Amino acid sequence: MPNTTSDFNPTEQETQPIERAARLKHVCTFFDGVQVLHDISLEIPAHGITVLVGRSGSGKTTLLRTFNRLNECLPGCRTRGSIHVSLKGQFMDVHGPAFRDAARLRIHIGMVFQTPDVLPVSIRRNIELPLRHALGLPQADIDERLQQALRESGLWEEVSERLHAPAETLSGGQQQRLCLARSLAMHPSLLLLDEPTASLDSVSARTIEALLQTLRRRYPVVMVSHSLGQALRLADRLVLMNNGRIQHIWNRQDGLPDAPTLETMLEDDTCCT
Amino acid sequence: MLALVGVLLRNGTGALGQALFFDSVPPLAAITGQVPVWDGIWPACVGTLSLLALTMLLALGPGIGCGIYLASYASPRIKALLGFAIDLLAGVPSIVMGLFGFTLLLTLRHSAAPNAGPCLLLASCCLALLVLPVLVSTTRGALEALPRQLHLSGAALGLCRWKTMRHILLPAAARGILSGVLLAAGRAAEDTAVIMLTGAVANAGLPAGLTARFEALPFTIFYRSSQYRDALDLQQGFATTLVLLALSLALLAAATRLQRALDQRWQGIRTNRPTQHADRHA
Repeated sequence: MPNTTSDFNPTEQETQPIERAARLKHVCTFFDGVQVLHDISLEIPAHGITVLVGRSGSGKTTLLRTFNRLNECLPGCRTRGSIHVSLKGQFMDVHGPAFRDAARLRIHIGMVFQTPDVLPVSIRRNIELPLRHALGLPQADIDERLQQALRESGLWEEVSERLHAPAETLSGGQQQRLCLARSLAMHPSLLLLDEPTASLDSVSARTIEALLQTLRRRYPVVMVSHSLGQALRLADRLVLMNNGRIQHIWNRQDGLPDAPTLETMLEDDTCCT
Repeated sequence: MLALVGVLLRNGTGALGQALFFDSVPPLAAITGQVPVWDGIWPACVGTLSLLALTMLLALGPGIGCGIYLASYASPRIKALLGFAIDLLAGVPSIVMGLFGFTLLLTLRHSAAPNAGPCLLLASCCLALLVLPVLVSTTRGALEALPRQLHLSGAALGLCRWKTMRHILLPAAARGILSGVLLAAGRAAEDTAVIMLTGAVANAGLPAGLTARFEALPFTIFYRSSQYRDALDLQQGFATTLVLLALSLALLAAATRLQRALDQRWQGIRTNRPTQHADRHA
């Protein structure tokens, strides 16, 4: 059965109008007792792309995975604090009773990983599998969503004639767009992207970027990026992280820093401690 | 392998024929059980297939289930304990397992089942215990060899733990698990020490039921090659070995076909190029 808003416990909802896609308050994450995220408080706007930048090991991916509780799939993880996500118009506590099984949360939050994680099945089956087994949709709906998602990700023209071919035969860029299409087919309330262009060549990376420019109008996106240029091109909100803490937040309307300044801030340890 | 097959072919081909299987009984009457076969290996073929089917029926569920549990659900402490027990069981020689079955039978005769005797069910239970570690280890190994990312992908797609296992991990590990099933089936088909102490006899006819004694190819081979009266008897022993080898190869071929069919079903991959229209309405 697909998870619907009727499953949600009203006591967990906030009644005020929602202008944000997610809100973290005093979030701390530990792995085997070692603190990785320190007292993170952050609001994700309901529209646009929030980009997390920072050095390797600064906690960007861990922070990204707190939204869909994916850290819990890793051994020794413990998270403290309040995490609320806007799902189908309701602001929900991701650790609340409605999400005792984290899978019920994750069907609402799409995620794309750094390396294309296509399943070793056909292109079609890659999108079908979660729709059938996580959402429990009938075949007619699956077919409709499949085509729509492939069109949204700009892949339909390239794969419509070979939907039954192995997904692994696609190029790296196409595989990453297939992963994006798989997430979009779930009609997510929030889209998480973990360095989605890191393993791609510059042309494929630009294709994904162009795609994100169109998707930002329809989905709130939280994205990790190691490319400062890309972060500055895409970010509506830029979050600089260091040592598991948020160091600085910029909004596009208030002006983003230029690349050299951002680079200096990343290199300068003293600014981030 | 070539030398082994060469020796078997040289010594056994001459005896391959209808008489080896059915002696002088008409094949149809023998196959349908209307006329008993006392000097052919047909009852042993049926006995081996019955033994194999029953053994795998008893061992597959617990073996694969335990492998899944150890690979994905067990705590490190349970993993270590259970893993050690499975390794111990894997090291038990088959003759010891046969003796265990025999002792179990004696215990049953003196307690709950005074009329119990060596039979197909007892032999299958002992064989199932014998092949269990193979199934557990190969299933666990195949699942643990999968990339960690597959677990994360399944979770990120909104599949619960069991659905990730059922729809992503198990199909991805199917090849490895099936190789374990084949190994276990091969071991069950060829083992002699266990069945000679728990139910196999030289002459029993077709298996009459779970609680009846039975004939089996490995025991027939052992019996004929150790008790042969003339050259023809020995030649028939070699020919029976060829039949057992053919049976194993047939199992392997069937398993490979099954593997391909399951893979294709899971992956949804077709070799031909369907039209866009067909894709939409598939």
